[in-house]
Amino acid sequence: MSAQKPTHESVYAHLPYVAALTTYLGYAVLIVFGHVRDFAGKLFCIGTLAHRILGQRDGRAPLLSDFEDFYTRRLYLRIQDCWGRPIRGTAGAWINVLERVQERAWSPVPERSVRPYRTLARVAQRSKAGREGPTDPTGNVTRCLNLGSYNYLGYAEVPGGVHQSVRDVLRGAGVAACDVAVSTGRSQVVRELEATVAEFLGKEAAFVVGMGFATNSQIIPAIVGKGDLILSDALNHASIVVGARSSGAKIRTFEHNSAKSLDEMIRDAVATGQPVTCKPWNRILVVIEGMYSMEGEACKLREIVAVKKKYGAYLYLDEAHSIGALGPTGRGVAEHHGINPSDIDIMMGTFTKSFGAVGGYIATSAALVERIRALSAASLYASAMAPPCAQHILWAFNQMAGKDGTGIGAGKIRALRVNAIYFREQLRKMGVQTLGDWDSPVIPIMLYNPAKIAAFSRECYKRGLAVVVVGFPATPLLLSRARICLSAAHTREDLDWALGVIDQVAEIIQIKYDRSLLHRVLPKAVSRLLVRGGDDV
Amino acid sequence: MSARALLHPVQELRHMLATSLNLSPADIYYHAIEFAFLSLVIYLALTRAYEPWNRAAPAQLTDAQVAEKLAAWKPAPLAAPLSQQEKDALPLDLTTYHDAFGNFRVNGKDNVTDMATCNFLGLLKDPTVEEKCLATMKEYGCGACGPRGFYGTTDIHLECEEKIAAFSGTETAILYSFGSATGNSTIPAFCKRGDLVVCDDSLNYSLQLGVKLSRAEAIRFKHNDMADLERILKEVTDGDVADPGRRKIQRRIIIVEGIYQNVGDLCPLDEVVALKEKYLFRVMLDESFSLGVLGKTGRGALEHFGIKRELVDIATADLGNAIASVGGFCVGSEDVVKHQRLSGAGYCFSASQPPFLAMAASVALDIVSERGETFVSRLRDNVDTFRKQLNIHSLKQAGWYVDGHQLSPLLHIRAYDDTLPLATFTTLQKKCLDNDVLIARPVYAQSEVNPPKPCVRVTVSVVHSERELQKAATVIRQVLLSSRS
Repeated sequence: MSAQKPTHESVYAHLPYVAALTTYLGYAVLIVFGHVRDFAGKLFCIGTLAHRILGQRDGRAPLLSDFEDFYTRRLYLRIQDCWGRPIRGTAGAWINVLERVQERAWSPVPERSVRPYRTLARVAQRSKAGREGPTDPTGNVTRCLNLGSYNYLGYAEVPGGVHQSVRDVLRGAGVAACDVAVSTGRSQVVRELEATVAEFLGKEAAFVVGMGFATNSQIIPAIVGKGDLILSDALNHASIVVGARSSGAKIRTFEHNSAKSLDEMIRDAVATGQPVTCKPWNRILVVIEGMYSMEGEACKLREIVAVKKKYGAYLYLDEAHSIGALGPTGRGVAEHHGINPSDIDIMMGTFTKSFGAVGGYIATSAALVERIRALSAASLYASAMAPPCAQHILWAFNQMAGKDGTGIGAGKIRALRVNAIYFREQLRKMGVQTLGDWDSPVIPIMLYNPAKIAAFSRECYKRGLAVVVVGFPATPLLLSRARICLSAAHTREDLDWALGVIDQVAEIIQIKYDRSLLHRVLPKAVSRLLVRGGDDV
Repeated sequence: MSARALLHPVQELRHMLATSLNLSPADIYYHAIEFAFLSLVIYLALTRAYEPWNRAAPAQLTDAQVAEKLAAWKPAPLAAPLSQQEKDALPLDLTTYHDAFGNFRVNGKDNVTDMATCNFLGLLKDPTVEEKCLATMKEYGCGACGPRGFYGTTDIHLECEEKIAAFSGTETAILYSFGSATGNSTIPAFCKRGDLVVCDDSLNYSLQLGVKLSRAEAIRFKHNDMADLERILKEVTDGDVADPGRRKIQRRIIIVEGIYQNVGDLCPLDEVVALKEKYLFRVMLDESFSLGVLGKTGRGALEHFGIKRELVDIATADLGNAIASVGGFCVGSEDVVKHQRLSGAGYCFSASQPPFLAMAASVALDIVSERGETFVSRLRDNVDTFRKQLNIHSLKQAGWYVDGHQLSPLLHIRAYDDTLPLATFTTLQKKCLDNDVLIARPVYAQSEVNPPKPCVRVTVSVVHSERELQKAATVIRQVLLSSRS
């Protein structure tokens, strides 16, 4: 069992030397060629650079410049077909991926050519006619198994699209709210949702926002400010970074998921006080995520809670990926680790992932919720959540908690866990390198080389498997990876088929780094003969 | 002593070394230089490296001192109770409920006239929008379960982007999933440290935040004061004479709103555009409140002033007002849009907009393109009627004034008397509600650069019948007159 395998301290520990070398080489070649093309482009005034040069004759500074633009044009655009594939229909276990005009964008292309191949009118026409089968020989739609969406509990695809109650709310309250929550009040359904979230998590009160990203970025500034210290995990999500930056508090990062590093940082911070003035910190807020979606790893909550209690710091836990996906009843990482919710000061989460809707929440003490409602930008300036979304989430919560009288919710949570453990175990046997916890529903598969990012995505897509690949700058330069997100909606047959596809692709692009050298170098039959007792892959 | 006499010992030494080491005197120089280098290498190897970050560390405290400090540290409570002033600033705590038969219930009161939500064109409960959204929900579910890059893009989103582009007259558009995350993602995508942002001092909070996050240098001009804007632009351009290279790398953007959210008046966009062309700046326009409201057919401030689309480099808008959906968008040249697909934080790192909301926006834009002229003229009539009924002159004597342009459906009612307690405004809201009229009571964050004066806000929409407007105006006027400031 991979459960016995200790989670390694550093993801670099398993990085093969050859892979590291070829990865650096790959990027070097890409960058050198990029510069050569840029030089030629400038010289002859052709290519992607040309209109930009022409556009700059008016004496203004270029709108886009520097490395970011270079990276986009010369590296990202080569493989941009791996991202943003348009789909039609729900993001359920199987999805309809629309083919685009230029599916293989080897060279930079104008945005027009990555639109769907078929005209949108035709798409609408077809969608009225009904759903297509697994493959669509006439059109340009590929039916793919979806290993990319964050549809952990399968609430993206509900029989009939959405529950009847959601339709009723849409008919009654309309599509949206058309204003800011605080100045015109909250709709009844949002109020109910806030009460449900608070009760579900065992907190005094909750506050609901219309967007998950905005929950972090607009509420953190209402909690901490000048004179406070934010200790943020090194791999925290961009929304936390934005929120922390706009708060005016001092920000320091501690080593990813390391309670030891956190302990030292707090000790140090308290001992030395604020910079320059040396006054003691007003408050220290530790910000962590419940599950790190790029690493597939749950936070070490028990150790971190111990540290924060020891010093009297406050804890902000972002459960964007863990709410619904972890814990025996889907109550997130605290339940997963058996921690009392009262030990976590602020619980934040989103409804995008497990609930298949949109938005986020903050669940904490009644006093803090009152403060957030009175002072945060999310409350004062942002649109309220669309009432139908709120109703969908409310319905999902009730089902998860078994309030609808069926065992559907509990069954979903169980299915997700079984799928996650099974899939990871099979991947391990296959010999590909994975990251994260043994029971996490997010499984990153290491690719390393930049060329393999595109190769893995394209080869899987060709075979009808939709996966997500991630490279620099979302990951460190060397650690490009593919990411599998499992769902309760996947059946065992789906998973076995997917494993077959991944096995084939992994063989082709040679990412079975965890297999012995012989396995990797020699053909399968020969290596099996030589290495007796090895993995029977 | 002469110089020669001074050199004598050196000469002597050189001679001595030369004879003893059996070297020619000229070689001695070479060896001396070699020796000097060798000494330098040894010196550098033996001295501590120059590490300013280590040097900056304070003197190490002893364990006992650290323990003492740890014991002494008392963190402030996480949630300080709200101060009286903050409590006074709060609006009423309202629960709203719409039923399917058009009844609007607020805190248990039925049939309240809604003069608060920004549903300018009445598209919120439009039957076409509803039907299309229901059909979309049936096929696409509620949410798309992922960011746009990772299978969160549906054809509905792409269609909506095309509709927005066609509506605005640009090549492409980018759709954000939340209005208040649009402006503050767009600004940092284009302005970095070292760039220059010139913005109106009454800009809404979302844009202010974007300016802050971008870390660019920000200069504010007085609200709608073009002379002040020109003065700033001139100063900046004059500074280029001393440093001519700066102009070639420093991005300079003027940020304005079509209709200012906090004030309700129009930006003289024609003058801003003329100035930006004269001084070689770029301009970013936020159309959150002007989209669907200004211009003959509701296409926004550009149509109102008859300005060519290419002259405004970046335009953003919140879809949560006239368009009656949730979301935001940015339009501009292909470069502007494409760049944000990788650099717009609120686009890359956020889940995509639920498809049914994108559909709502598409259908709403269709309706506005088709019937925009009727909508806009109706809205103007309603605003005129309401303003007349409200009788702004009579309010002045009671110490109230109305902020906002004649064309703007947003009317901010403010007091001349700055010392008025904040709670008064909440009382106004309550008194109106007692008479079955809901008005908004905006609250402003204390971190705003130029906090607007407290107010209550009335919103006029095309759905209001003349009777409703009359009733609302009467109620609001009575309430204002009875609570003389």
